[in-house]
This record gives sequence, structure tokens and C-alpha cells, in this order.
Amino acid sequence: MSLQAVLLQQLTNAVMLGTIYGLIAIGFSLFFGTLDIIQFAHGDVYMLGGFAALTVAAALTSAAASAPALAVPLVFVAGAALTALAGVAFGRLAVRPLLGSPPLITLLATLAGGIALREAVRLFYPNGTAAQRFPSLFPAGSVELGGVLIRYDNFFILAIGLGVFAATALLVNRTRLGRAIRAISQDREAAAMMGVDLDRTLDLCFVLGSALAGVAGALYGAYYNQVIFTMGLTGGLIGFSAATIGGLGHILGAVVGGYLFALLQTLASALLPGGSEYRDVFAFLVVILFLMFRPTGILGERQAERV
Amino acid sequence: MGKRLQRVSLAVGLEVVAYGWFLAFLRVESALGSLALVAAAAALAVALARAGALAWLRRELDSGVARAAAIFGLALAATFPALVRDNPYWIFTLNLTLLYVLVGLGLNLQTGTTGLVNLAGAAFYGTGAYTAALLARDAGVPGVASLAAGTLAAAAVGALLFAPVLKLRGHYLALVTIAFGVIFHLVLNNTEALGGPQGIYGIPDLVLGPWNLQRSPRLAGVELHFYANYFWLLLALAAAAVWWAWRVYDSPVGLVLNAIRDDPWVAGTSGVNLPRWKLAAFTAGNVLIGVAGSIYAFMIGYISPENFTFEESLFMLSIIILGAMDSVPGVVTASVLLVVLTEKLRAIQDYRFLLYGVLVVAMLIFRQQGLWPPPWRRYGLPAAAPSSGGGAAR
Amino acid sequence: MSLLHVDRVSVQFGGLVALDRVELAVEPGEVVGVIGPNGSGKTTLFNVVTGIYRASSGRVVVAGHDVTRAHPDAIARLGVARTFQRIRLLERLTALDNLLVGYYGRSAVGWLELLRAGRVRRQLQRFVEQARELVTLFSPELAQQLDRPVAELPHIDRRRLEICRAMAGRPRLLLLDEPTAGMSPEETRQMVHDIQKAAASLPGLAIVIIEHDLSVIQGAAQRVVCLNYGRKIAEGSFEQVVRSEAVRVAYLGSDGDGVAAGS
Repeated sequence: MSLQAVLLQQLTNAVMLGTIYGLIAIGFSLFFGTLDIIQFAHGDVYMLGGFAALTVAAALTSAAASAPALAVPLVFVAGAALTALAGVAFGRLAVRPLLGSPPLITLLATLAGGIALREAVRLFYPNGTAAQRFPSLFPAGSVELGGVLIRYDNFFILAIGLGVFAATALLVNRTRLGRAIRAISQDREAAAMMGVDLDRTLDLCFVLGSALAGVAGALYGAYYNQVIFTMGLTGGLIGFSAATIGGLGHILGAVVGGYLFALLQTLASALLPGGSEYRDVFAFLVVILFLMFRPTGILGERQAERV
Repeated sequence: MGKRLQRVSLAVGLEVVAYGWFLAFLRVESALGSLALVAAAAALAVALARAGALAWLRRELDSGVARAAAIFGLALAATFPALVRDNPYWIFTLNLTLLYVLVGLGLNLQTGTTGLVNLAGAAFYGTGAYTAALLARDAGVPGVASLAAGTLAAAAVGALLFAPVLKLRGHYLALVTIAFGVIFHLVLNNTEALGGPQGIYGIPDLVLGPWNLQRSPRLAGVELHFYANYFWLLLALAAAAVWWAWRVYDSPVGLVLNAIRDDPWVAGTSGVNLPRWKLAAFTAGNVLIGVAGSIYAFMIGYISPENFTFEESLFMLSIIILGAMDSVPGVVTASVLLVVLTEKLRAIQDYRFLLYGVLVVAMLIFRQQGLWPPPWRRYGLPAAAPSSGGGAAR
Repeated sequence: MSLLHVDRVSVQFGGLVALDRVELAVEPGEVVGVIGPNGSGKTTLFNVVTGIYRASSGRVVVAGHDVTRAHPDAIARLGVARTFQRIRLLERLTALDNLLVGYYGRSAVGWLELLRAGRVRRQLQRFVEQARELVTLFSPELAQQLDRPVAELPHIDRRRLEICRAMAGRPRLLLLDEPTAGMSPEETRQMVHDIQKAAASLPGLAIVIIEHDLSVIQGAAQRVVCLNYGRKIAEGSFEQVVRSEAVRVAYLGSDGDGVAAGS
């Protein structure tokens, strides 16, 4: 392959991964913005998303309803809905009771809750320790672009990702719920006094963030044709890094951060010797260095502290 | 004088009873039997505490008796390998417990005292273990030097990682330490020079001067398993670490670190140099974790990346959540509970991380102060008029 | 040379100008009152002097040291101490612990010193005595209860502790952010009296005090500064400032009943 083709191939890969990372990162930013916490179990919610989609897909296959035009939306919508449910339940059980506590406490609770989710999948999903094959949802085949074969599913993944980004942006900027979310991010107490229903809005934040993670998990499955219970650890860490690069609390920043992180990874695989093994090492090191120079991210962390 | 003798005998008597109970607990084979023993002891403890026995005990044992009780307790504990010599596995388990006491005290200084969440405990532990093991095996570095190098490596890596986030809010440190844990695991797995996924075999014996810790010791003609050597070494180290940690806790240093944890603005505007103290606390904590890791490598003779996972880091943190933040006795209690109970209840071995996860969330929601909250500081000053003393209420 | 010189300091948050070229000089031994409507930048002024915020432009000079870019601890070690509008105590600790933070923040203790138990204990005993004496000036009853957790104490005692913590390190400049907020008139009078008594034990101590209760300012401050929308709109004696047209407008819109309420 020519250099150009290699680069194009890598770029495609970066776009796919970046889409997935951005979807995860939005949740981190959303929870940080509204609750002022890092929801460390969010990576595992994303993993649940992969398994939820897998379960729906498997059910559809056994019901022989596998026409892609029907199956794909069903897998994504039902998968996201299940994940959203799990996310809300997690929020109610492990996050909301601790909201008044020091940040350290919520951090530890979400971490421990994440482990519990991961271990529950490993122990209780049939043969959960092994990677699970994820059925191909999209039509097989590929198209040649600039000397590179690009699989059809890449286009679907990108289209779904961009569609969901756009829908999220609309939701946050144009709806009542979005207004409530933004009000809470500004000042939780003031928002409550102005008549924002705090309980309901926080629940809906968990619905939104977790549903996005659910879509990301399903996309991961579709892209790699497998899901595994450990994917939440790196997925969550990457999502958190991406949200941090972008500036915690900013939805757009999370998306930008997601693509940047993916770009870093693919750069590392392409340019470093033995790069594919060390790509995450490289990417995380860059993130750590980045924090030294611009700790508040590209768009700046939302300031919450007041005297 | 007679009063003092009375108090010392009371303390000694209590220690003997507790030790006897513990030995019996280890001997009981059936899970049901051990649960019954635990339940009996817990019921007794709760009943006594309800009856105000704790306050009475604290008054009785306070000041002057502590040192005698500690020395006697250590001597008593040192007999452990001889008393379970038919079952070296329990010596090994207790060694693990002592290692976790060291690790727990280190993490506690960082997370519990200063509020710096270290989510890479296992990775720092592993840094100590790998450094010591590689130096000893491939460079022929003698035992003490390898242990020292392992310890230093853990501390140095920690300081290096910490530098970028010194001035940032807490969650960035969480990010950096998790990332370090993941990086550590990835690098170990993918680097042949570090043994790759197979890890490091054939770690040589640990020899400290005339003492080869891998040789079975003979005491009065009785041969003990070589784990006994490690038991004594670790017992001494853990005792020293507990003593030091308590000194730090009950001092202005512990107080200043608490101020950093609870309100950086108050600490800063009171003149506390935050970066300096944070770095000092983080590094000191990693020294304890690193020394434990180095000894661990020699003790089990074989290490692999799977010993040093993120789950393991969280397990280590659960020690201080269960025990209580910033509580030295809490760390010791929780280490014993977590390690011994897990080993005792083998049936749940596979479920342990699930259980820890659930346990930690439950503790944080229902008993955030932990099992053994730290007492109010006295700074080694004579007790003031006890208008409301006693921290157990927290 | 002034003890504190705030030299044309501005502070901006994004597009919001919280302080706009504010000029203020404080001399040793002076008591300066800062008044102004809510959101006029009073607390921001304290935050920029103590290094919590950084000035976007201008300089902050403390006793001849330019501290515009200094960290809070360095400024504190120059002898600047403060209290907070919303009382900030270490809630999980005792009253004595909170006071000791004030002493130990400024005087170094190190890991190694822990090994010299005798020395550490003697220093501690000295600090504990000083703390008790200081608190006694405010409330002898409180001085007997220093081993209680601060979370259990009533509001007024908590405020006293916060002020004592600030005075613990023998500061040269004390910044008090609404020390009588939430207190009855009687408590307010008492508190002002106690602060003056305690301040007398530190010769040369300068105090800058933010207050809403103008009667407090009138009684205590030799000089008054009024901020509005981040700008200094008046400075002078209490009478001069409250009579100034700009201050009346800032507080009341244009017509004026109520400013004099305190007098």
C-alpha cells in the first residue's frame, strides 16, 4: 500500500474510534456538568451497552427477523434503552444517595459500582469471561476510496454516530430538558429554586448519558464484531480522557476530545515501532502531558467552586 | 504501681483471648463453623460496646499501658508460625495480610489522610515487585539493595506521575493514576524484556546478611516453613509502619494533611504549601506500597502482570473504605478481615471482586465513617477534661 | 510603604469584569471597611489579595513584596490572614484542630521533626496555650470546649473559631469577610467588641472588613471604601462615604432612605 493509502486507512480507523469515544465522553461531561462528579462506572455502562445490543441482536436472529432495515434500528434503540435503564438504576443506587458527600466518596462509589457491574457480567453472562461474537448488523461489502477498501459498516457507524451527536446537540440546546440540564450545570440550587425538577432532570441526565454510552457499546460491537466484559475499563478511561481533553462539562468538547484521542492512538500505531501494542500507552502519556499545559481542556473546565 | 500491673494484665489477657479465638477460627474447617465463630465474636463485641465497655476499656488501657501491651502483642503474634506449622498456607495468608497492612497504610496516608486518590496501588506495588525481582535475578543485586531499589522505584515513579497534576483538582489525579495502572499492565504484557505475559520466574532467594529467608528456619529442633521468615520480617515492618503511621496521624503533620484534604482554600490561606505536602504524602505512601511489593516478589518467587491489575488496585482501596478513612487501626482491622475472610471462604473466591464492589458501595452509602473511625487527635498530650471526647461517634 | 497596596487591579471571569482597576492602600494599624451591594466585588477583592484568584491586570503588593502571581500559602506567610463569607471550618475535626491549622500552616513541621517527640510536644503545648488564651478573649466558655468537634458548635462559636484561626499565626493584615453575618444585633455588638479586643493584642495589625451592617463599619472602621460593579466608587470617612451621591445611587437606585438605617 502507498503511504497515502496507509494514512487514509488509519484516518478511517480514527474516525470510527473517535465516534465511539465521543459518545462515551459526552456522558462524562454531562455528569460532571450537572452533578459535579466523575461517574467512573460510565465505562462499564458502555460495556453493558455492548452486551445489551448483543442480547437484542441475538433475540432477533433467533426470531428470524434479521432484515437489516428493521434489525439495525431495533438493536440500537432497544440496546440504548436497556442501557439507559441500567444507567438510571445505577445512578439511583450508587450515585444519588451520595451527592452531598465529598467528591472522593462519589468517586470511590462509582469505581466500586463499576467493578460490580463488570464482575456481574463476567460471572452471570453465559461464558462471560470470553469475548462474545457480535453478529454483523450491516450489509457486507466495501467500496474503494483513494486506493483503500472501506467497509460499508464504517459508513453506517459514522452515520449513526453523527446522527446521535446531532440529536444530542438539539436536545441540549433546543428543548426544555436541555434548558433544565444547562441550568443545573450553572447552579444546582438556583435551578431548583427556579422550578427545575431536580430529581427528574438528574434521572434524565442518566438516561441520556447512559443511552449514548449504550449506542457506543453497540457501535463497538459492530466495528470489532465482538464485545467483552473488560471493554468498559479502557473504554471508560478513554472516555474520561477525551472529556478531559475537551474540557469537562462541555458536550462539544467531549466529541472533539474523542476524535483527538482516537487520532493520537492511530498516530501511535502508524508511526511508532511496535505501535499497535503501545498505542494506548502513548495516547495516555500524551493526555497526562497535555494536562500539565492545559489542565482545563480545550474549551475549559466549567468552574463550580464558589466562596 | 498495683493499678498499673492490673491494667497491663487486663490488656495482656484480652490479647491472649483474641489470639486464641483467631487460632480457633483458622482451625475450624467448615464454612458454617467459621461463620458461627465470627457471629459469636461480633455479637459479643456489639453487646459489650452497647454496654459501654469500649469507653471503659479505653479509659482502663489509656496511657502507659499501650507500650507494654504492644510489645506483648507482638511477641504473642511472633509465635504464630510455630502454632500453625502443620499448615503453612495460613502463614502465607497472614503474610499477605501484613503486606496489605503496609499497602493499606500507604494508601491511607495518600487517600485517607490527604485526600489524594491513588487508583494505581497495584501498579506501584508491581513497580516495586518488578524492580526488585529484575535487579535480583538479572543483575545479581543483593537482597537489601533490591528491596531498597524497588521501594525507591515505586516512590520515584509516583512522584514523576504526580508532578503534572499537583495543582489540579482531585479527579485529574484519579485519571492519571488509572491511566498509569493501565499503562503499567500494557507495558508489562507487551515487553519481552519484562517477561511479557508469562512474567518473571526464578526470582532468587532473599538473603539479608546471614539470614536466607527462603531456608526453613529451625527453632528448638522444630523445622518451620520458610514462610515463617517472611512472617517475622513482615511483622516487624508492619509494626514499625503502624507505629510511624500513628505518629504521623497524631501530630501536626497529620493535621495539616487533613486540612489539605478537607479544604485546600483554608489550608492554603493558612500558609500550608499544598504542592509540597501533597507530593510528600503521595511519595511517602508509595514508599510503603513499594517496599511491600518488593518483598512480595521475593516471597512468592514468581510474578506476572495478572498480579497487578486495576481490580487489585481497587481491592487495596477497599481496605481503607472498609476500615475507615485516615484510621490506622481501621487499616489493620480491614486488612485482616478482607484477606483472612476471603481465604477462609474459598467458595466465594471467584465472586470476590463482585462482593468487594458491592461491599464498598454499601459501606459508602450506609456507613461512610468505616468500621473503626479514627479517634480525635490528642497529639500525645495528656487527656483534657473529657467533656465529650471519643471519636467513635463519628 | 503601605502594608497592602492593591494597585489598579482588575479581575475578569470570561466576559464578566469582577474588579475594575481597583486601587486600595492599607497602612499598619488601620481598620478599613469595605461596603457595596451584593456582587460588587468585595469578596473578589479578598480572593485576589489572598491569591485564590489571580489579577488579570494590576499588582498586589504586601509589605513591599509583589504577590500578584504568588500562591495563597506564600501570601499567608507574609502575614495575611482571612476569614470566609460562608464559614469554612474543617468540619470533621475538633475546635482545637481547626485552631492549630492556623498555627501550623505558617510554622513548618516536617516528617523528620516527628522523631523529636519532645520538641514537637513542647511547641504544641505552647500553641495550645496561645489558642486557649486567644479564644478566651472571645468566649471563655468556648475556650473550655476546644476538644469538641466543630460541627457540633453553634454558629457564633464557629465564627469565633474561624476568626481565631486567622489570628493564630499573628498576622499583620487580617481580612474579615462579613464576620457578623447571621447574628443578632446583640451578638454583632459583642463580636465587634471582641474583635477589637483581640486585635489590640497584636500591635500594628491592620484589618480590612467587609460588612453589610453599616453600624459595624461606622463604629469600627477609620476609613471606608465602597465598591459597585467591581469599581471603587467612594473612599473616605464613614460619613463622607455614606453621604456620597454615588453610594446612594448604588444602594438605592436614585432616592435615598435606608442607607442611614445603620446610623
